[in-house]
Parts: sequence; structure tokens; C-alpha cells
Amino acid sequence: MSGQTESFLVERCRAHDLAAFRELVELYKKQAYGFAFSYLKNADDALTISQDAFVKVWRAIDTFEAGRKFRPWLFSIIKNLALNLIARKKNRREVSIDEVMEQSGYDIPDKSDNPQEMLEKNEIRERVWKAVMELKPEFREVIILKHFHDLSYREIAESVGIPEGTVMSRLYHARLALKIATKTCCDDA
Amino acid sequence: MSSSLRGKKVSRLCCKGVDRSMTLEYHEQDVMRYVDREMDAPGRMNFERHLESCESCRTALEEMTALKEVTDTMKIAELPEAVWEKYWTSIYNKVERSVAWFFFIIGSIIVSGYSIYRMIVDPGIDSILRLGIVLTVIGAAILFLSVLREKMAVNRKDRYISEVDR
Repeated sequence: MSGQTESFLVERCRAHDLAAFRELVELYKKQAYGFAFSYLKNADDALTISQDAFVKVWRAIDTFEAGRKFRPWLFSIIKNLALNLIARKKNRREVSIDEVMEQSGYDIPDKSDNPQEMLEKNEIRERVWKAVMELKPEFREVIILKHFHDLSYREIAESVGIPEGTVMSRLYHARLALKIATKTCCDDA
Repeated sequence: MSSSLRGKKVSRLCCKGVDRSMTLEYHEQDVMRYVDREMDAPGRMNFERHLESCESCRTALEEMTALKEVTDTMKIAELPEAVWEKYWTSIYNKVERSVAWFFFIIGSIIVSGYSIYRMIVDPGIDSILRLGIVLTVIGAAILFLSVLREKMAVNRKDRYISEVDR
């Protein structure tokens, strides 16, 4: 979506145009859910938190500075709500990978005609996903934002509330951890 | 770049004979920026020139590119379409109810306050009505205090201040 369209919608939301707000929700709902999921690793909680974030956006839209990008602001709200929920639920326990997989953590496109090749690639992807889910939250969030949402370093920095240098550092160490955890990934790829 | 290639040992292996300003840390950033398309055109040209003479960086680049190729084929799993169809409705209901609660609370305070006032100034009000007013006001006060206490407890424990509150 173009920046101009987003700015227009945000301005309409500031004028309390519910139709414009709905359009904004429709545009960002899946990204919001995906980002919340990267913290919560639970589909129901991610859905609830992403919806609560949009409600907060509507209530606080008057405080949103014109010219600022909407997505980083939305993501920062989601992050704080998610972390608060985690703290409240004392969700420091490790979620079993089976739980994560059952909650359909990730999708893979089924493009290969070669079953063997598809199996091998699926195994690699599962290793990568497992390694992503086992990262500490501060590393997992930058990996998810970069690899699954394709945000720039600057956008990640704005969303998470850290300097760009820290984004790069965390991304580097997260990738190192993934590489170590999925040795066959890089050997086979 | 493996975990053993760090610090002084790495800089000797990686950047031997290269310009002093191009330390290992500088190269780590360059590999990342190159893979993530965060470099401008002159930067890319310089880095590609550097790659011709630096095997360590080529290896690091290959490894990082391989990882990215795997994650590029993955995405966060989609929820069923029925969930997305109800998504906006859930948000709308939450917004609507918060507005409704606001009006309800304001209205309740006005009605309760006026009822108490009338009860005091008008001796002709039936006892049963007085009892109803008193019980309603007490019940509302208890509910209000209970919700307020819970909200204060939650806010105290919520370490992560919402962006909108900054």
C-alpha cells in the first residue's frame, strides 16, 4: 500500500471516520496477527492482542503524529500488549514445539513436484521454524519482522523501539543461532 | 560466519591485507546489509569488489543467503477465512462497548447523585424507593472500586508502557 493512501486513511481516522478505520484494519490485520504471534506463539492470544491493539489505535489516533509511519506505531503497541500479557500469564515456560506446530505456526508453499525434494525442504523449514521459536523474544522479534514481514532495519527499529545498530546486531546473532541450530539448512541449501 | 571466527583471530583471518578501516565488525555489517538489500549502489559495488578477495566474507554471505532462501519460502500460517471475516466485527464490538460503558457510567453517576439528592430533600419518597436507591448506589460504588482496584493492580504490574501512553 502506498504511503499516501496510508496517510489519507490515518487522517480520516483522526476525523473519526469509522469506514477509514475499518479499511486500515483490513489492510494490517494479518500483519498485526503475525507480529503478535511471534511473541505469544498462541493463535488465540495473538488474535486477541492484535484486536486490542487496533482498539487502542482508534482511541489514541488523535495522538498519532502526522507524517509518521503507521505500521511501526501499530507494531510497538502490539509488542507492549503482548509482553504485558506474557508477564501477566507468567508465560515464561517453554512452549513445546508440538503445541506450536499444532497451532499452525507457519505455512509452506507446496511447489515441488519431487516428493523427496519436498520432504527434505520441509524438514529444513521445520528445523528453522523450531530454531526461530526457541530464540529469546528480543531476537525472535527481529527475525520475524525481517524474514517474515520484510521490514527494513529502520522500520524494525521504529517498531521495536531500539536503534538500527541494535537491530543489526540482534539480527546477526539470531541468524548465527539459526545457522548453528540448523546446520543441514546451510549445507543443503 | 562460524562462532569461532570472532575477535582478533577473526580479523586476522578475514581481513588480512585489507584496508585497516575494514574491520571484521564492518564486514559483518556489510554482509548483512548486502543480503538484506540495505546498501546503496556504490556500497554494493565496493562490497562486491571486496568479495573477490575475501573468502571469509564470501562464505558468510553464502551461509546468510542460504538461510534467507529457506525463510523466504515460509510465512506465518494463515487462520481460516471465517476468523478473518469476524475480525472487524470483534474490533467494532469492543470499540462500541467501550463507548457504551462510558455513557452508562456517566449516566449512572448522574442518576445516582440526583437520586440521593432527591432522597435527602424530599421526605415524601417511599421507603421502598429509598431502599432501592441506597442499594443501587452501594452496589455501583462497590463495582466501581473493584474495577478500579483491578485496573490499578494490572497497571502496576504492566512493565511495558503502551506506546500511546508515552
